[in-house]
Amino acid sequence: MAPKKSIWNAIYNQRQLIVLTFPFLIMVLIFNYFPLWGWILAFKDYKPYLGFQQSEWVGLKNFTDLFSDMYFFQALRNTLVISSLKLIFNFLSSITFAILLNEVKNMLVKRTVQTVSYLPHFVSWVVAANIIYTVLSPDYGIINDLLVKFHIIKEPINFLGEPQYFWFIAPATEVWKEMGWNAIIYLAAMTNIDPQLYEAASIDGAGRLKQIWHITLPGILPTVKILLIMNVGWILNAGFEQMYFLQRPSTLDYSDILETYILRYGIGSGRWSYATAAGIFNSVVSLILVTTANRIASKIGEGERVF
Amino acid sequence: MFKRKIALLVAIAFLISIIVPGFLKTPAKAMAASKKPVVFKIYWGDSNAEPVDVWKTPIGKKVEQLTGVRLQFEFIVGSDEETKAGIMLASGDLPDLINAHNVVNKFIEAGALVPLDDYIAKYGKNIKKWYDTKALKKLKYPKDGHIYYLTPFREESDPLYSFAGFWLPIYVLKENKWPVVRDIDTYFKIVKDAVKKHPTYNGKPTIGFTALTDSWRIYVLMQQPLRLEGYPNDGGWLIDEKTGVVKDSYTMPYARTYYKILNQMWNEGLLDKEMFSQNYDQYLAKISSGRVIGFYDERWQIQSAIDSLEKQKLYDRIPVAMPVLKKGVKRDRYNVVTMGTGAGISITKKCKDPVAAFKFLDRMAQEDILKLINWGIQGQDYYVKNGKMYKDAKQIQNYMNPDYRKKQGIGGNIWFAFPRPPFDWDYPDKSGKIAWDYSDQALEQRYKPYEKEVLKAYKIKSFKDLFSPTWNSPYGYGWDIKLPDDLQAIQNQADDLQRRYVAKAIMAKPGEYDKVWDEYLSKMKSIPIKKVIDFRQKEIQRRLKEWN
Repeated sequence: MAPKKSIWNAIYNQRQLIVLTFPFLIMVLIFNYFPLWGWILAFKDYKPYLGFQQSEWVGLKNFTDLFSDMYFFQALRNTLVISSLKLIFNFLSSITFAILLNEVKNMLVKRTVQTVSYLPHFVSWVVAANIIYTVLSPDYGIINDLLVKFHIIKEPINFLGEPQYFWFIAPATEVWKEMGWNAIIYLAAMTNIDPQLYEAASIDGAGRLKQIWHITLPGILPTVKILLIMNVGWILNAGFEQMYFLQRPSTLDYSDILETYILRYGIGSGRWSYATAAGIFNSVVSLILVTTANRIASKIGEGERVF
Repeated sequence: MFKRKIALLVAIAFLISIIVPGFLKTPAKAMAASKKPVVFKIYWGDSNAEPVDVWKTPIGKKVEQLTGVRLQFEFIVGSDEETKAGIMLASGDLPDLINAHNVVNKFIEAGALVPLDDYIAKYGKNIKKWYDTKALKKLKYPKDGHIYYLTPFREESDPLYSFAGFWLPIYVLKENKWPVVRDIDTYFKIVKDAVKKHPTYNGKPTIGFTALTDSWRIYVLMQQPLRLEGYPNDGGWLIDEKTGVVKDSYTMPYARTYYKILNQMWNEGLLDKEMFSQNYDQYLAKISSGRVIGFYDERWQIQSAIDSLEKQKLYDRIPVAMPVLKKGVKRDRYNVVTMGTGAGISITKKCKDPVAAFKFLDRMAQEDILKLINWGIQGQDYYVKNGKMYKDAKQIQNYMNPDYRKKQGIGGNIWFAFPRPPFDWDYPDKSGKIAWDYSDQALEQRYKPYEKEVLKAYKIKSFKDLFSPTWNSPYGYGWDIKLPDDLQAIQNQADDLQRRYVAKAIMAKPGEYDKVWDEYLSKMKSIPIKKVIDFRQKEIQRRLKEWN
């Protein structure tokens, strides 16, 4: 009976804190769990005018339709490729950037660079897409102008119009927009590292690179791991807005991701149930990915995991 | 303790005073203030319309006085009418009135709209004047025989300009000694020569031929083979006007030939490199810059580019539409005149007072309001002599100025959608035409000096004289046939495939075009487009039988 008593004791001791969490619990229930009820749509032929009750049950038809559509798999492939590339590019760029910035000792330079680098984060994709379009334009875009002037290429390249470039434009533009923002969390993690470690290392004769390798990197490793696990869960969300504004009919073969696919073939065509089925697929795969990543992380690490 | 209780009481009283009035209705008050206009919320689902709140213009304010109705507009954001309609229906959050534009069938099928038949019989004294029994018959929704809106797509066409065509700028026409370009080979030859002669303009390279490919607007690129074969714009279908037989344009043999020409031009560098990456604004900006030589479009889509060229006084860069056809085709159908069945304004089931809303729509079709919204304010925008309406030189100038029209609230996309007669009809009091004087003399007044020069060079009275006479379609417009959801999904799939592959084919490397096209044809076979064709065919045949 003793342990039970201690549980009740603990609850009693933390009663104010527990009560404070209730509003958030209710919020999560309402916004994250209650909508799961809508998944029933995927097994019905939902018509808005018939309503939820009257719409006809169709079993797994929406799923079989989904898995027999050639463009669904194309969208799935694009999603996986684009978001994996994004994941890699984003991690490498923002960690490198944070480390380099951390080494800058002049506060004015450091602050300026940091501010400039995270500003694009606040620009919406509508505006960003137009900026990207202008910069990459084969007609008067600065990148093509420079490449032609330095004789790297002969003819301007139509970056946004030709499908094969899209897989690289998407991560590259994401890096431009988010690198500075993502670096903030690593910079914060770095401030937690004990300065004495650096002092000790330099006395032992470690240069800057050695200090980065043996102190800074291990110092931010837990943060990196947790962010990695969390981001793996988002791998089927390749960034709806970005793709929506950057894709063109000519690049659909490489730029159509699950979300834009669902918009066009599901909601856009009045196929609510079909869209729901695709959404369920998306959620299930994400859940599997994040649990796997979490398992792996806890196996190889010293216990860093999200749950 | 006492203080706490008081504080609690005050807080509760405060909350009640905020919440309760929301639930209480005060009919007495509403009755007393009968002078106040009735407010109707309206959703404007037409992504082509410029979101202008006409109710705030001088003319809009007068309309409010006359009708006693104030409209609160909600315009569509972006261009996806279908998605927005779906979300509205699923949430059930409907305004009083809706201009559902191209997706009206979604609202009808959902039972969200009020049938207007009885209202028209009872209260539609103005509407009955303009829509006779034959017209009303056309507007019946085929499935249930009810009327849900009064179409604004009346039997009319602009007397000044052609509706669509392959365009060439005036300076190129002048250099070629004012040709009437009728076949596509000549057209592209002129384009080619012009690019050679003027490789740059204002320091930037000249563009031989461009196309609008932004989301659904890419339909103008898909339409080109049909137009060249002498078919009207029927939403991408070949329709036999006598038998009502429908064929798909997706796999028509001429499409292959035409896009192959474009593919060759692409590889020669004559097509716009950004053709498949620019959006609508960028396309308009390009035409406004005066660097583009050729393109195909409908006039209403490029009107703002023409306005912009006029503002910059680049008159010789303004494009003129040409009746271009495939070699051997005799008659073009760029200009169609017929009453369509496209959607106007509907009343929703959520409307708080459908009778008042209908009376408002009927009131909008009364002559005094028609004069106000199409002619402007008497004394300011027109004058009356001997009981007839006229505009003097200054008033004409104002009317021709898009900025003035917008500020004053004359004409435009919003008024267009209300129930109305064709613009070239006479007012019953013989004071003039509904929208404008259509006599030759008046038309001449409306042309600008640079246009008159072109007309003189061609020895014609109107730009339409370059084209075949307007054609009266016995089945209306093929594009306004509304598909049920499941067929619409098939149609979307086919459209999507077509868009991908036409882009791919045009940009294909030399020698690879046929491979791409064959791949397209084989993929198209896996889409059950036959079902859509059958549905359209049945509807066209029904129209041919019932309408004529």
